[in-house]
Amino acid sequence: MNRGDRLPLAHLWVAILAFGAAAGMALMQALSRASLELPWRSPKLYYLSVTAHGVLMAIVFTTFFIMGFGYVVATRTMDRPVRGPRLAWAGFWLALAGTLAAAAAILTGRATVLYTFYPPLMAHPAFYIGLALLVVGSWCWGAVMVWSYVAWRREHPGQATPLAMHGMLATVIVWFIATIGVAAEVLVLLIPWSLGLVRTVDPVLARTLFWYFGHPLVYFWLLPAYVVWYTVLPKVAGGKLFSDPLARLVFVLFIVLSTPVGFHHQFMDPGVPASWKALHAFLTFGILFPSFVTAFTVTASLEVAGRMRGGTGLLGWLKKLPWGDPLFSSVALAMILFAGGGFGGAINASFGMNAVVHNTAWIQGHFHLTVGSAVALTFMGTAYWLMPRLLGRELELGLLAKIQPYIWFVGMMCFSFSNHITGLMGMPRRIYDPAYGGDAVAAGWRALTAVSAVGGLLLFISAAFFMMVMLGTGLAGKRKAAEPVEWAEPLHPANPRATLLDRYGLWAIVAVVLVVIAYAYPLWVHLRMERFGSPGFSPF
Amino acid sequence: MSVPVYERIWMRASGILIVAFITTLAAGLAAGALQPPSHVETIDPAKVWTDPRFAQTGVTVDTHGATVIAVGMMFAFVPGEIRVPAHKPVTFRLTSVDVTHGFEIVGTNGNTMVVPGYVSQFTTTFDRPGEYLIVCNEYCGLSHHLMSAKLIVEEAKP
Amino acid sequence: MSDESPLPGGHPKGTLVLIGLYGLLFAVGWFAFYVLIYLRRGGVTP
Repeated sequence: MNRGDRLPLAHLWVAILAFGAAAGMALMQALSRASLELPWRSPKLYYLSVTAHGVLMAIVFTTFFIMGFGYVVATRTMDRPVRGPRLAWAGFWLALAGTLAAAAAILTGRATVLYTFYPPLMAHPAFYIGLALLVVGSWCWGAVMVWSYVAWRREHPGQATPLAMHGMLATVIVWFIATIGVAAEVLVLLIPWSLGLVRTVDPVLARTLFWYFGHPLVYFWLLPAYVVWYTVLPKVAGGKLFSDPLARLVFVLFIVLSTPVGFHHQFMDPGVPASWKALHAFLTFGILFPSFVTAFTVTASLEVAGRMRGGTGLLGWLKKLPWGDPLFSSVALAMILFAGGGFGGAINASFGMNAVVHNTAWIQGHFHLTVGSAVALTFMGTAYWLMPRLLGRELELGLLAKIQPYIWFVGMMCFSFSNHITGLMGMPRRIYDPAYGGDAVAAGWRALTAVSAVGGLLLFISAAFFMMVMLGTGLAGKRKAAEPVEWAEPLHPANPRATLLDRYGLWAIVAVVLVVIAYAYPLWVHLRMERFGSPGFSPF
Repeated sequence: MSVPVYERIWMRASGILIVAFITTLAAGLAAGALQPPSHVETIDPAKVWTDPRFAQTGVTVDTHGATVIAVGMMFAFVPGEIRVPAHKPVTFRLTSVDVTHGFEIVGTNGNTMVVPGYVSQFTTTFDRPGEYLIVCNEYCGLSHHLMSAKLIVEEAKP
Repeated sequence: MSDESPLPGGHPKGTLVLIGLYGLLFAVGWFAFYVLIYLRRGGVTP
């Protein structure tokens, strides 16, 4: 093991362990919603575990994985150790301490506020302080990434940024802009309120700040997955990246468009005028564009690979792809599931039409295709590919790794499909039991909640296989010389010179200007309005 | 930037599709008929029961339609049974006395957050008489899944 | 913009078919949802 790889490995192990813990909680939730009388089943345990599952999966697993993967990208593509390793380690320990503080508050039942923690539901202060530390830790990571890039840039003036690093820099910029919102919410509103320093908090203001952060959070998860799709997948598939400049353009579009879209999570909120919701809805449709381009470029890269492997005909190349490779199958299946997630996202973003699906089971069906598949399955595949290379060990239990992505795929189809449909039938999300006192309409959801539970069971088995492979590899994998981390070549020689697309400062400014246009005026009007805050409630 | 010709076709097509989606939504907005509930009005959540706007919960019917005044609280809606006429515009006015709730009339587009400190309002018409389930669709505490109410849509008396 | 022939065997025609089909389903699905579910359930005004 390379000494410099201890830093990414520490992050990746925290991510993997958080994933394992969160997957265990999810099983109980899916079974509970099917009204199965399990031992220890209680509303208290159910809502506590929904909180823990959401925080561990959506915040801890993703953030630690992205930090670790980011360090790998920085050191490998720029061929140099990171700048500021002490700052990087400080960030790791801060984020870990924050995670443990928040987890302690959740597991002792003092923070059953779900991962969205909307006030006036009030958690123990350790929950908010823990989340704040996690974010501060991630800022250290962002600073180290930028610092390392600036050092490389000084030595390579005018040279194009390596594509994977380009994507990670986009991720860092999106993260810095996005976390301003949650930092303001947690530091200014929620921590003083939970400590009793102020008595009330404005719930709509808190929701606005949360979703200012909450949607670009989605792209913080997704962009590193796109880095894998563009720069690792074509290589593993035995082909080349179809278009380097379009990949660069896609990441820049995400820098610009990720943040000014948050009101699309608040379509059903009072206190926010329809005109501003409409602007955010339209901008959200703008952000469909880079994902549409990604669908084409990545699929075409796979076609290149299949044809280089001897595939012929219109679709014959599909059969030549390495479906038995765990990275390949994970990412390919993640992309198929994301095709459905993208469609559902366009429904959610559709302004008034959001009423059909808002806060129904459709939503959990939707985001398990996006963050739960496009991102999580890609990260699992990435772990199969990356961990042996960092550890200098062979992947253990390779057969489990081969079948695990397929089990995830089938489980997610069952889970997500049934939740989309029950959502359209009106079943709310985040409910312990869907019986509603024997209501006839609610009884119609019953068959599909059973399908969802079967899906949850398959997903749990798949997650368990993943954990066995990871722990087996880490603890008992046969030692060998580490294979190099290699990136996909573009089909046509890429422009070696930096272009407008490598001007990160410029794009960050454009992004901030759009954020100001989308948020400054509505926030100003909101703050000038006569408002009545709410004291805290802890009904858990 | 050099863009391969097939990908350029796809990029144009997806651009057109996005414009078509936005145009459809903008038409609904311009017509004023297809919007999310976005009423802006505040209220002191500690004084809801004495505020003249919410002191009298229930349904008022006049020749134009009906107005429903309802309050969300842990873990019930007040009133728990709402009777409104079919085929006439019904305006719902809601607020919360504690945490944030959701108000979803299952099977319809009636769906809004109910946030303490704010008044939610939307107007819709029910063309299908019958009984509808109303559920809270925002987590509000350990009995969230028990928080529901009934909406009864009645055919107008001749 | 230039018209390069990107693949050794010509353009990525399989990709255009697959992704084109997805785009078509996406468009039809969205408008079907809009008309058959959203509009049928009745509009809501603020």
